Amino acid sequence: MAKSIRDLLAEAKKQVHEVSVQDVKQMIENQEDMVLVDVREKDEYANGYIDGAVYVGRGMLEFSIENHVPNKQKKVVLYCARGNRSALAGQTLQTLGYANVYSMAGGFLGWKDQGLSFVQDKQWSQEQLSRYSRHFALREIGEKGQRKLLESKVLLVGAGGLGSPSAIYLAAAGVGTLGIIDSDVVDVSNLQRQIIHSTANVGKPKAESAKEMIAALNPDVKVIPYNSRLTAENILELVREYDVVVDGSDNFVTKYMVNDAAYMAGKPSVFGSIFQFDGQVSVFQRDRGPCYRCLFPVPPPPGLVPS
Amino acid sequence: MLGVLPGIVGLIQATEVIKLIVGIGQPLFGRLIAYDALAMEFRELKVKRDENCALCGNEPKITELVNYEEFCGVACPT
Repeated sequence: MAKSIRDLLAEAKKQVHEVSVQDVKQMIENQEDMVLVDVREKDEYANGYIDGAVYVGRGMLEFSIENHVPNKQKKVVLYCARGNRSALAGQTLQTLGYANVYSMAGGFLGWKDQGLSFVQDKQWSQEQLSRYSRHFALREIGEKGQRKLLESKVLLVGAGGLGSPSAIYLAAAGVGTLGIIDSDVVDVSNLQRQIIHSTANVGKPKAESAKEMIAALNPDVKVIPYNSRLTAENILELVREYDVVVDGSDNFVTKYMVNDAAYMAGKPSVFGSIFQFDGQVSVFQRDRGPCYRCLFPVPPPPGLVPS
Repeated sequence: MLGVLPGIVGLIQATEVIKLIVGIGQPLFGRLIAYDALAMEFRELKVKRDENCALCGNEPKITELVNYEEFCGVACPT
């Protein structure tokens, strides 16, 4: 005889241990080693979810759960709206070999009823869904990573040879705020490599020219142009405003200054340098490795400095 | 300077920025990538913190920003 949904649920709940909303709250507060999984439909999740939960809709559960929880011994707590779908999902995970599966009784609505806090992500526009679709498809980036990019602030020191490609790709990637500092104006001789500038912009401040290009590329990106020189007087204040500094400078004065300021502000600085056919790249961050001065304690003697 | 050279290096920098922001992969901490366009070679040099470093060493001498033009000498391009 065919089973009714009632039978199915009763079976599932017999097989999958239930935990209460309060239990889950405790686990989160105790930072227990577990994965909280939201198995609802995408639109339900979009209206709010428990902070820290990963989203694996029930429809894709069997296919994607291993991406999120590769270790089948790990404690997995599932929740849906009321605690029924999560029980059925739990049964499925047990069939797949997950040994510690729980279902949160009462579900997300029960969580909300108890007045517990939850989070809701800013919704993507249709255009953003399309623009960042290739990032969304990467498990390592996804919506979460894209949100981090949009909320991030990157300071580009120089809108020249190194700054041009960085700025364009970071803008295309959806880095939300790009500060660009360069006191120079665009010259025809720059155009052979400084690809963010155009022939029409010769004579314009580079920071402004870069802003124009980025505005045309991605309206999500806010560009803050600084048509000024980076000095020991203004650099620290500037660096503190940003999450990451990109050193695209072409001189040692700026390289040492960026290194010292980023170190003092505790911000990572992404170092790059180029000469003729050779380039060097590294990332410096306090307590994570050496700094620029560890590698180059003193600037090269004046005669050896390429102009 | 070869025009595409800063393109290669600038985009490695951009890649590192994205990794740092999203928090994925292995950032280039303690590693220096040296790129030779003519040989088309990428070499990786392991680099260590210098405990005598004036900035991040055990007894740092630089605790605030200095005069960088003076430090680099007159011939240093600005």
